[in-house]
Amino acid sequence: MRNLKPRFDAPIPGENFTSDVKNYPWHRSPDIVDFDEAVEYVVEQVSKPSAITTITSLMEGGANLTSIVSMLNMVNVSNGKYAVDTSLLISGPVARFLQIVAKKDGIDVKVGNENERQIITLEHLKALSGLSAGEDTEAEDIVSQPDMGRVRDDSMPQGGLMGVSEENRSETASATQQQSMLGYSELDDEEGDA
Amino acid sequence: MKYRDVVKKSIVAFMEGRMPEQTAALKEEGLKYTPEYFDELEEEILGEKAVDKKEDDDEES
Repeated sequence: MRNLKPRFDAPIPGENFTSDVKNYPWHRSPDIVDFDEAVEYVVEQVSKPSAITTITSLMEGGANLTSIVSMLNMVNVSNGKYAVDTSLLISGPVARFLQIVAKKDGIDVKVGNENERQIITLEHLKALSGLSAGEDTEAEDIVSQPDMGRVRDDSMPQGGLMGVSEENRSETASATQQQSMLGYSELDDEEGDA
Repeated sequence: MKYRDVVKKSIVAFMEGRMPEQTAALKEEGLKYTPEYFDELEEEILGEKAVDKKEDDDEES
């Protein structure tokens, strides 16, 4: 059933006009407006050792140039480095540079498939984490064992939830021990009888 | 059309040798990072690599 309670924490009409529109970097003027400067900035950015390692790993994992360039553009536009329009203009040169890097490292990278969306699969993650197909067979063997994930029947308690399992049945105290635990002794029993 | 699709269109156009004409017209000296520039860069980088590899092979033998 729909909740018809009024929401008092919602913005009032026109509230957006009262807020500062320069709160975010992409609301302000971008740092770089020149085409060549923007290309130089991204090329320098991706040429850093840590960045190039990540990008190379992504390409080895099957990521295409469109995905990587879009990701770089998103980061830089959201940081206010350049505008969205500039990001579209420089996408080509940046992708071409990454293609050269991929060729140098012997990676076959594609621009992107028109009809197919890039979905990050388990295979992608394995490739990124450096696992080859043969390395995880041991884990798969363990999981495929028939007893894996199944509770042994003989360990299940008999007589309901509070019942004693077969394993622990032999550890149950004898009648005499139970009496002594309760504070009774054999002498008390004899006195009671008398 | 989504952002990703436009990025792909831009990349494909550049790979085919097309450049943003209006942007290029803003600069008298023209744009630096053209398809030709990257072709030369590719030759330079991959050519050097091929030469290095050949030198390594010679040292081993």
